[in-house]
Parts: sequence; C-alpha cells; structure tokens
Amino acid sequence: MKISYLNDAFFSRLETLALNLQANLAGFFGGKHLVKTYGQTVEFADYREYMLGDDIRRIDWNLFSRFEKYFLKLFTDERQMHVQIFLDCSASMGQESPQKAAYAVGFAAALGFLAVHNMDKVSFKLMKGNRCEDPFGTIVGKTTFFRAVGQLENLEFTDDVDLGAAVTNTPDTGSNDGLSVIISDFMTESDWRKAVDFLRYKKRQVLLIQVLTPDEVDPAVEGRVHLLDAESLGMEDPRNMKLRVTRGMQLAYQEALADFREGLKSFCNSREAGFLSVVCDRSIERTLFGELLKVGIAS
Amino acid sequence: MKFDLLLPLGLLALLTIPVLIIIYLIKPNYQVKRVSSTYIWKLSLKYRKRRIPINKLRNILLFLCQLLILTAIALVISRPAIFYNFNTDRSDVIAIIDSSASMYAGSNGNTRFRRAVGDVVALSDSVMAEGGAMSVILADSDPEYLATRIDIRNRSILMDTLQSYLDNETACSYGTSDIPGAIKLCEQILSDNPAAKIYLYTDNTYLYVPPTVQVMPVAGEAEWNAAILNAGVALEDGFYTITVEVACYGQDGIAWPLEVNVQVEGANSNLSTAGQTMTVKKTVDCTDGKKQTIIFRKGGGEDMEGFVYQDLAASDCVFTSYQSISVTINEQDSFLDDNSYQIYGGRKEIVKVLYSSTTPNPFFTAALDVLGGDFSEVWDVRITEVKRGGSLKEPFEVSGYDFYIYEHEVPEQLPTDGVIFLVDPDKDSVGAGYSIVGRPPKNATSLYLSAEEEHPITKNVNTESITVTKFSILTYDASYRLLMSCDTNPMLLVRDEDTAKIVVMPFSLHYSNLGVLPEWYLMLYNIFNFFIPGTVYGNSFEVGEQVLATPRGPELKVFDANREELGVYQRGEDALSFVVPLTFTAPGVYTLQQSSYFDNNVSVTQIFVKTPAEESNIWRVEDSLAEPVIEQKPDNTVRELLLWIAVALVALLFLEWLLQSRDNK
Repeated sequence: MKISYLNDAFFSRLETLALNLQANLAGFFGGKHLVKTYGQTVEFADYREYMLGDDIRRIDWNLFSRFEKYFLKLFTDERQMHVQIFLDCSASMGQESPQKAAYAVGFAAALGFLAVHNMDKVSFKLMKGNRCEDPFGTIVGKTTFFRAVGQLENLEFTDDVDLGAAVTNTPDTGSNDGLSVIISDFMTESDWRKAVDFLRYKKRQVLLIQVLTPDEVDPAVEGRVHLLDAESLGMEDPRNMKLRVTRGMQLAYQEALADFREGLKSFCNSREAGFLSVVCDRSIERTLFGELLKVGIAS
Repeated sequence: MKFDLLLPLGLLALLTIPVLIIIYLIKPNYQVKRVSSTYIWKLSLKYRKRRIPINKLRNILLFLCQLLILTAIALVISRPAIFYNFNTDRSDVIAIIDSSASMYAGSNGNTRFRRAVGDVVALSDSVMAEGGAMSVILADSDPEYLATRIDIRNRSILMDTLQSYLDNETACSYGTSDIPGAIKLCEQILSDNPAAKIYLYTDNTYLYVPPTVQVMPVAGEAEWNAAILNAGVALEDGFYTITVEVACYGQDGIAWPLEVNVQVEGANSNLSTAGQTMTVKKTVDCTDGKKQTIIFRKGGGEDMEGFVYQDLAASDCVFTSYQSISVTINEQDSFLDDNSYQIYGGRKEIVKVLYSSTTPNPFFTAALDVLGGDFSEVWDVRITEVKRGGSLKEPFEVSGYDFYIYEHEVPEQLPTDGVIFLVDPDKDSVGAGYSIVGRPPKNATSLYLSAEEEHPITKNVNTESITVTKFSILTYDASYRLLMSCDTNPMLLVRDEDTAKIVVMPFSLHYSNLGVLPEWYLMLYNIFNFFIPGTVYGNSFEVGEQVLATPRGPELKVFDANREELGVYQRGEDALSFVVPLTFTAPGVYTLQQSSYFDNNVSVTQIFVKTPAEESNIWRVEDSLAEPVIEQKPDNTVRELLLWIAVALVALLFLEWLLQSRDNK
C-alpha cells in the first residue's frame, strides 16, 4: 500500500511555520527574510552620518534639528532565499521500506512548502548515482510547488547514490543564497562529508536530515541471518553479509548506530551545519514542529 | 564387579546422534533477510570482534552438550548397572604357598616346599578342568601373586612357573613368611568373588582356622629337626665362655641325645704363634620343643632345668682369644640349615692411637680410655701417650698410627697414614691447608661457639654450650668444612679427602669449658666413629635382617662362603658418610672386604647369617590364622546406575539451557 503524507491538511498545518535562515546570507531581492544588509524596508535598523552622494531624502531632519548634523536613517533589508533540497533516491531509502521513502518525500515537501510559503525559491535535487536530477527546476509560488509535489509522490528509489559526487556535480548550487538540505539515511560507503564541505564552501546554510526506519534503529533480527543489502546487485555482492545475530550482536549494533549518529552530528557541528536524525515511526508533524524548532531551522 | 546393561537394546537410542549431526548439517544455517543497508551491521562487527572466539567455543560446547545428552538418554534407556559377584558361577581358587625357611625341611629328598608346589599343580589342574580360575600366592616375607585368575586357556603361564619351582627350589626363602599379608592379598579376589576358596599350603599348625581358608599341611610325619638356635661367647675372668642354645622338634616327646661339637680356631694366639685348634663336645637330652642351653665355661657349673654346663678345663679347651668358633650338631635331621653355627669377632683389628702433647691433660686421656672401651667390640684400641717439652725434644711420631692427636705442638710435616686431630696447633704444618694468622690475648669473658654446617662429627653435640676464652685465628682452604665458629673465626674444621683426614680445633681445652662438658667425649667419639668406623656391629645376623655396614675405605665388596662376589659398593663423591645397607637371603658365612684410604691393606670381616630361630621349629603351632576381610555387598548384587546418569542428564540439560540462553544474549 502506498504511503503518503502529502495532503491539504498536512500543508495547512505547516502554514504556521517559517524557515529561520541565517541573517548573513545574501539571497535575492524580494523575499521575506531579514538579512544583515541595509535595505528599503520599513523596519528601522540604525543611523549613520550623511556622506557625500547619499540620497538627501533619507536624512532624518528631526535629528538635524536637535544636533545640527545630518544623519541618515537605515532600514533592514529582506531577501528571498533559495532552498535546495537534496533527496537521496537510492534503494536503501525506499525499496525495502516504503514508509521511509514516504517520510523522506514528506519531509522534503514540507521544507519546500515552508520555503514557497515564505516567498523563497525552492528546488528539489533528486540524487541518483553520482548526479542530481532537477526535474522541477526552481519553484516559486505554491501553484508550481503543488504540481511538483504531485510528481514527487511517484518517485522511485533504486540503485545506489554517491552523495558527495552527486552534490558536487550539481551545476547550479548558488552561493551564499540560502539553505541546502540533504535528506538521506547516510548509510553509504561514499563520502557524504564531501557534499557538506562543498556546500559550506558555497557559503550555503546546510541541514542534514537522516531518516531511519524503526527496524534500522532496533533491528528485529535474530539467529543466523543472511542480510541482503537493498542496494546489492546480487547474492554475492560484498554488501551482503552472513552473520549470527545474538543479543550481544544487537547491542553491538546499537552501539555502532549510536556512534555513527554521533559521528554525523559532530561532523556537522564542526562545519556549522545542522543535523537531524529522525525515525519514521514518529509523526512527521511532531518532527517538524519539534525537531526543526529545536535545531533552529524553523520558527 | 562388572559393568553391564540391563537393556542393551536401549543403546539403539544412540542412533539419534547421527540424526543430530545430520540436523546440524542440513539445518538452514542462514535465514535470508533483506534490509535497507548492511552498513551499520558491518560497523557493528568491530564492536563484536573480541567475543568471537568465545562464541566458537560455546558452539562446540553446545554441540558436545547435546551429544552427551543424547548419550545419557540412551544410557538411561538401556539401564546400566554394576554387577557384583559376577564370578560366583565360576570357581575361583587361591592357593597360598608358605615360603618360609622351614619349608626346606623334608624327607626322602622331597622338601615340604616341593610337596606344596606339587599339590598346587594338582589342584590347579583340577580347578581348571572344571572351568575354574586359579590364583597362586608365594608367601615369603613379602607375599606376591605368582598368577592371578588363570583358567584353562592360559594354563601354561602358571604351570611353567610352578614347574620351575619343582626343578629349582630357590624360590623358597630362608626367612620367615608373612601369612597374614598373603591372606590380605586374597581380599582383592574375594572382593570380586566372595565365594573364592583359599588353600594354604604350610607346615604350620593353626589352632583356629577361619572357615574361608583351608589349611593343607605339607609336613611329613617322620620329619624332625635338631637345631642350634643361637650361640655366643662372653669373656669371663679373662677366659671365654661359649653359650649354645639347641632344641629338637618332632620327636614326639622322646628325649633325644644331641651331641653338640664346638671347635675353636686360632685359640690363644699371640704375636708369635698362630693359635691352636681346640674342640669340645657335649651331649644333652633334648625333648620335643624344649630349648636346652649349653654353657661351655672354665670350671663348669651346676646343671639346672634347661641349662647344662661343660667344663672347658676338663676338655683342655680353655682359651683367652680366638679367631672363629664353629658349633655343629651331627644329626641327619629333616632340616640341615640350622645344624651349624659360626662365631666370629674373636680377633679384633688393632687401632693405634697417638696422643702427643706438650702438656697432656686428663680430659684427653680419660676420654681416650672410654673410647677404647666403647669400641672394644669392634676394635682393639691401643693408645700411646707422648709428652713433649723440656730441653730434650723427641722427634715427632709421624707414622705407624691410625689416629694421631697433636695438642699444642704439631709437626712440620703431618703424617700421611692416619687420621689427624690437631688441637690448639702452634704453627702451620706443610700441606695442612690452614694458616694461623693471629693469636689474640685471652678474652676477659667467655665467647660462645655457634654451629655451622651439619656433619656427623657434630651429631648430638650442643655447640652453643661450648665457650672459649682464647683461640688462634685461622684461615683455611676450600678442602675444609667449617663445623663450628666463634664470631667469624673457625673453631672446628674438618678435611675429609681420600688421603688427608684432618680435624683442626684451634683452641686449647685449658681455655674452654669443652673438657668438662659431655660434648667433649661426644665430639671425640664422633670423630673416631666417622673416620674409623666399625664395619659391622655384631657378627651374627638373620636372613632378611638389614645389616648396616660402614666401611672405612672408599669401597666395600661382599662375598659369600664360596668367595663369589655378591656386590661392590662405592662411596659417592659428595657423600658425607658411607653406609651400605645389606640384606642377606640365604644362611652362611659372608665376607666383607675393604681397603683403607691410607694404604693398600685389605681388611676382611666375616659375619654369619643364620635362618631365623623360629624357623627351626618345623612343627610350629600358631594360635590362629588371619581371617580375610570380605567386603559386605548388598543383598541385591546388581546396582543400577540410573540415578547417577539421570543426575548427569539433568545437569547436562541445565548446562545446555544455560549455553542456549547465553547464546541469545
């Protein structure tokens, strides 16, 4: 049975949220995000002395009457950001667990909705192999967004993905103009760190969202098992493995997973990137309203 | 006792073991499971790596456990049991052959031992013919099985041994027999088969015989024995008296006139004459089993019940010294080995002792006198005292003695033909191995000595009670052993080399309390006994008795009466003392030959070994025969092991559960 989180009720609940992006981004004119640069909005920011060449219409005459000096009144600027959502379309994200795929798609759609809802641009980068597909282009406005979301639901998760290569090979990542979100389980031998470093090099705000299934967090595997990797190409693929799962092995798995998550988190901290690990048995709204607020991406 | 199964078909349950193995082989080892990614599983292997060897061991244990469980189940089904008395259906016969010296008694050329062996051969044939098993014990002083449970299939093993006994009687001992020990040996077979029959072939008569043993007498009716039970000499008023104990057995109460002949060799010898041969005889009436003591003495005596005197003077046989005495009885009785007796020790070797001192003191002379008395049994100790000093100094005596004692003044060149005891030496002697490096003045207080190395010379000597006030300080070479010391100064040194046996005591008895302590004589006795020991103490021993020989030289040879060498014993290189334990298995005269360390003179000591006196009584009557202890078995002679195996099964099941549960952790 196909699982989908995307419906009107879901999006209507998201309208109360907004993406809270960094203020040092440049962005584009015409958005709603306050940035550190001064602009033409009505929100007062600061004063400065008049300099030759300044528009005399911006002189604060009240201050002149008091100090007999010319001061200009400065206002904050509001910019439009470009939110790029990199979605891991490898088999590990959906082939064995439709719920995980639906959750990842739902999360991507939710973030996209928050972007367009705040008059930002959004683009969905579907990572396949070592490249990214951008089937919908840059989306501005809800009409285009919903059309794109309708197609996202039919997304297929196959093969494996090299996260680092896929991101770095993306031609139009922009620079200092918004948020890049990578949604994946990060269970890959490929170097995903390269993707983060690349996006940070492009001065983009980065958020990594790790989507896991309950079975991956607490595997219900016992005894002698031949584990077949969803991305494996056959029975003899080295990614498959035979092992005897005992209680001790399960504990070792928990320990390995915790270390793996901690490794992701500490790396993101070192790169000033956000990290969120979510388990898809939790309702997506609770994650959005809870975890996103916690990491400060949403407000 | 036998282990068997009550239901052997139950072992068919063991067929489940191959089934278990097949299950292990064909069971789906791995269940296929598709997962999103095996990435974390691979990571987790690193965390799990250390426990892998334990897991393998656990797997093997689990399999072994299951294997044992199946085996235990099979055993439970087949009902294993221990069967006691399994041999009751088969006749088990044990024959004990008395191998004491009295079994040599016989008549018409047929000894009791041969008779006993012949009877056992016949019994064995009869038992084996009926399908029984035969065991034979040879009961000498250390009984042992000749054969155990021999049946008709291996009859020749037993028969060959018994036949060899018939051909050659040397298997019978000249000592005593340990019949209770032989009965005890039977208990091994009786524990398996309480119905086993015991036959004892002996010449003894037992007033009480336990029902489990049947005594088979092998003594001939006409057999009798006249025996010299013991003999000895004693010096009375300067003349020797000979005492001979004789007895007759098997004469049915008739007084038998027994003539005892005594021949003295080397009588009254001195330096110029070799001595005479004297003979004396006495006839006494011996009644059955009553001992008569004949005393040959100068002047005779008044006969009493059991004691008969013979005046040596009347037979012109008075003697003050002798070489050997032979006592014989000329009777053609049934047991000849106790018809003669030899007495040695009449001529003792002379040990010459020289005591040379500038100021001879009574402590020495008194101790030497006592020493001579104490060793008088083995040595003729002759003491020569030389007082040195004054203006006319005699030359030192440095040869011709066995034991030299130099006090205060020692010769430049020490003797080489005897043991030397240097007391308070005034100077170093050539080659003595010690050097006087100081003579401190007399100490105001007495200094106590302390013991150093343990040595036979200080045996029983309480060193800590000895004090000195003045002594010489010595240095000594490695050939000496330090036995006593005062602080760090040596107080008693001993050198025990093949050609140099020296004891050095660097203090005078005048400046010590040693002279008034018992330790003084003990020490002198030990020195003498260590270097000039008596080879054997006594000259008459019994067969089987241990004789401790202490040779003076580096080697001891033992010969029998036919001068056939029985053994050569040599002193170990690092041995402190040289003691040879000898045990003789046949009566007769034996010769111990040794050479001294200092010359090549061969010293010969003769001893007489006789059969035990009790064995002369060939019609001995004992009170009771030892009863074998038969282990009491339960009435039910089959003991099932079901309970034990069930307990083991439960334990194994618990272990298997434990391993399984740990396996899943």
